[in-house]
Amino acid sequence: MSLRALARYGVARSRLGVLLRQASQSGAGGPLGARVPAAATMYYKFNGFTQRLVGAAASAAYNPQGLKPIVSTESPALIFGTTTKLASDLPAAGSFLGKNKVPDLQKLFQKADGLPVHLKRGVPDKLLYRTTMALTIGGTIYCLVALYMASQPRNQK
Amino acid sequence: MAHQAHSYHMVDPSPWPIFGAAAALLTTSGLIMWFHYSSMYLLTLGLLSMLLVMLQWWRDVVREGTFQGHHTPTVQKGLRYGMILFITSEAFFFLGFFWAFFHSSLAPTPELGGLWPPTGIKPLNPLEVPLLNTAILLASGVTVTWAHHSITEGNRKQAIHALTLTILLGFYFTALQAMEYHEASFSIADGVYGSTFFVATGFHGLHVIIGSSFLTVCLLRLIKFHFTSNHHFGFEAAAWYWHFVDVIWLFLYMTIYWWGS
Repeated sequence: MSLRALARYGVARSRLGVLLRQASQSGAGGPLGARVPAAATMYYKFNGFTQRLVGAAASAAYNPQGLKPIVSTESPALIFGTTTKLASDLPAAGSFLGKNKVPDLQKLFQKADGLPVHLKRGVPDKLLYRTTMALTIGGTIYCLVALYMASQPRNQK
Repeated sequence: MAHQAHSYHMVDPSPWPIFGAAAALLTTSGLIMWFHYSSMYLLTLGLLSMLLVMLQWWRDVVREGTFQGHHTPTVQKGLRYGMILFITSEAFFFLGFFWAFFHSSLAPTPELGGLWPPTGIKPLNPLEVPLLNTAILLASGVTVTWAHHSITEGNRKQAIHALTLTILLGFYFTALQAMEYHEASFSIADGVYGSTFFVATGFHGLHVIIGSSFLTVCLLRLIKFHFTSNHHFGFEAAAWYWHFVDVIWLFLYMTIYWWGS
């Protein structure tokens, strides 16, 4: 996989830097490797519009899709002094309007069972799909018959 | 699954294109049967199958994007271009109606009395309900932006509130437009004034209904945790569409309602 492809997947510059340094040590030392500072702390992501690498937060570089909850790699905000937290300020046990089922659904829909996406959920999907198929195929036959009859002359003596 | 070394989306074989085409055949032939033989049988069948195909096709797009992770930055770029081109085509669709309106109103024919609004037409007062509608749509533009900022900041609760408000404003607009149509002293059959007025504002109203449905789907997905702070293109597309509908209304208000009266 090329470095550009790695960058496309949002590989952090620190990892890219490691790869580049390895490349420069093994080879004669490419022009790219020379530019990487010793302590790489900046992160990049691939910008889809400009087709270039642009600066990004560590979280965006590691998870460009933002799909997975991540462990924060940034230092927390400094706290000056202590505040008393009221019980009502604490987050409630259940989240607002239902809980997050996306991770479970991601597991379900990424299962390697060979099923196409429209049938991945099993029986309900199959029922809906077959109903739609029956309606469209049956309807097309009915439609062709109706159009054929409508094309016949109205009065035949 | 074999390892994929590129960021493009290789789609699964899907039945929806061919079923969608069949549903279009049933709907159009159904209209013919309805017009010629007053039979709604085929039309109902066509609309029902069309609805089923639309629901399942878009459901699969959500599955591919949110649950299977196929909407990589490269794929999102394609979706963005697609939405931009779609909205551009819609803009030209409306340009045609504005053209018809200006063609008829800038140089009114003798049959119209040589004036605009034509003789005998009592237009709606632009400073009454239409002005309120303008305010409603502008306010909904504010609330949809509020919802977007809440999503990017990861504030799901406030995003749900702001998006709900946007949808309610959208339905309020539709209700007021329905009331205006009911109260209007002219009809779509009242010469070129009625035709241009009801076709232009009617198609705009249809787009408001489509936009409200799009935003409602986004609200349901927001409640179901589908959107993250940096990946929520479905919402962005709906917001673009909503702003487009908003801008079209401003043009309708300025030209047909205000200048045209």
